[in-house]
Amino acid sequence: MKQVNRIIEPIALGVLLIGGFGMLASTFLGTADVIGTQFFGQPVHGALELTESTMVVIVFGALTYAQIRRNHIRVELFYTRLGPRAQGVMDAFSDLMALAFFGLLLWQATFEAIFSWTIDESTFGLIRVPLWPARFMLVGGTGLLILQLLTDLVADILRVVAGEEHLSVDDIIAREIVEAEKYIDEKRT
Amino acid sequence: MLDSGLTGIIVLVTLFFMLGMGVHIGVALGLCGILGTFLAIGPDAAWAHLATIPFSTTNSFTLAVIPLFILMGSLATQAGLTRDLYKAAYNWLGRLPGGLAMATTLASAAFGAASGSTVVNAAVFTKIALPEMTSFGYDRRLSAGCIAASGTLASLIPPSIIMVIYAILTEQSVALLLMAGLIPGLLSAGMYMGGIYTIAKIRPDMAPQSKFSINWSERISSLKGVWGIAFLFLLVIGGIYTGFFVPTYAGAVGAFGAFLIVVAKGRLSRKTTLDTFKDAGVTTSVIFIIVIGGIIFARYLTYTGIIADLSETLLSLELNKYTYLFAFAVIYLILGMLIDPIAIMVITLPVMYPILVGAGFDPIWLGVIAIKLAEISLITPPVGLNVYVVRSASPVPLSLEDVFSGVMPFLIIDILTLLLLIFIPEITLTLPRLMM
Repeated sequence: MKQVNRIIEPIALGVLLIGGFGMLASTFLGTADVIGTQFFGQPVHGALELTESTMVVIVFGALTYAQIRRNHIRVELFYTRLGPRAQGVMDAFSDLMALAFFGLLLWQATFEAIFSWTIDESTFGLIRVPLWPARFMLVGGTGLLILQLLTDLVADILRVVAGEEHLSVDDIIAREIVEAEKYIDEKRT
Repeated sequence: MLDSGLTGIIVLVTLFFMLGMGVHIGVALGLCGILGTFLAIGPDAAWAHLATIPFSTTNSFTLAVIPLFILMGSLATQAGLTRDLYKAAYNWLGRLPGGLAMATTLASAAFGAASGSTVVNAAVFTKIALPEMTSFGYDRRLSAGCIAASGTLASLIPPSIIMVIYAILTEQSVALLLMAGLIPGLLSAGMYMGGIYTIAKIRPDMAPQSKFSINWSERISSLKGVWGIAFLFLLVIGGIYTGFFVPTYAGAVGAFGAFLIVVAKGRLSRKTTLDTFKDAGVTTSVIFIIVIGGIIFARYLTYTGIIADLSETLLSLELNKYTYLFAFAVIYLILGMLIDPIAIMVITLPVMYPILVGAGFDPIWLGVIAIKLAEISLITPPVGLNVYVVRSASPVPLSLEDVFSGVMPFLIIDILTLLLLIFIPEITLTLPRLMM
């Protein structure tokens, strides 16, 4: 299990960084487009379309990394009040539901991506930007997330079976404090 | 096909069960939306939603404003603008009664103009301002309450991410909504500062007046650190207001400007840049999964006619329009105890928005009210998110009770502000009307 994670994590980070650099590129392109349009009457063609495609890369690229950090928003009303086994059950249930949702999404998105590729789907405008790379990015990002969810599911089920102490409420709070401090210290430096 | 009423009940029960089990909110909404469409309309419609919505939602120029604003905020934090802002506000206000707390509010409001995130705001100022106020003998409840409450200012003052999400969900103009938040945000900050001044006058022991003296040249020179953020804010807001660029490009220009400030201050390093991208990427991804799930769910509600039926039934009661608004406020505050503001909007707006607009409220004004309510829910006991953030981030020992009792005066001030916003809509609508 650990080995699988060791492979997934760097890939997840890599995909996230592709999105990050795409974001930086959108920043430059957008600024150039504004300056070009307003001062020189010369827009940067394709800036808008590339920004759109980059968005797909950012959202679906960062998905797996967000899951690794378990940075997902959920209702914690009951969760923090339960014992380790019950928490394990809830975690496993969440993984299963996420697998169901993203599994269905992957299934549909794959058809869409292949179709888009066959018809060479692209944007309208002076520069025709192909849309299928972004669609395949969506498929790839979702696929990677599903791999991560599978390993999480196995880990959570093992935890339920073993009934091992995962994290108590105090552990969670302590961890959050440490993380918040780390976060702020990093921001400060 | 099942009857839409029966499906509605099945879907709602499933949704609450999933949320209670701790399933990610976007996933729960998305799955329930698919389930409902599948049962009420059929598999083809369900798969079609799943095939189109995730791509069309993300492959969007309008929504690209969200990661760009997040990037701008992360970069501004990286440039160390928070500390500079606090120092400047402190130099200018420090000598007034309650001056330190007022400086915190002002700096937090100004930083909100760059960060757009209430939680980051509260955490950052707890680290910077709380030790300062404690060392000057300020009551720790007042200090903590002031920080928790001021953190919420980020969601009204543009550029606000939650405002963009409201605009997307209700199909209103992002530019108009961003501008509509400006005066209410400044009003909220002003009301807080007035409240702090009053508390300091009545109970000088809670906020001892500082004796240090600052001359004018020190004041002026402290402004050097803040010109960057001031320029950035004027550029972004001015650009949107005059229509010089669309909000997405305002985000691009703002992030570009913030990037230049980081470079100019010599704070560009590989590690911090990497962290900035990680941060912006993960935050964007988490927000978008909620929005995608929310849109799939909203599509189900709309296609099956549930929303039309429900709003027709409720509107046919012909109640006073403020009764509908009051119900909306109560639901918001209750949900605010359980889930974060973005998720609340995604869950409630598809149903509440048509009803309230049908009752005669202005859609832009409603956005500001909804966000003000979301802000209030962030500091309302027993589970105000910002209160927890301040307590967790606090370098001095602080109990939850301390923060909650410190937040109380600000909660009262917020309710006053909310009433002002409700009964004088011009506060909100003047700026957007000037733009049209």
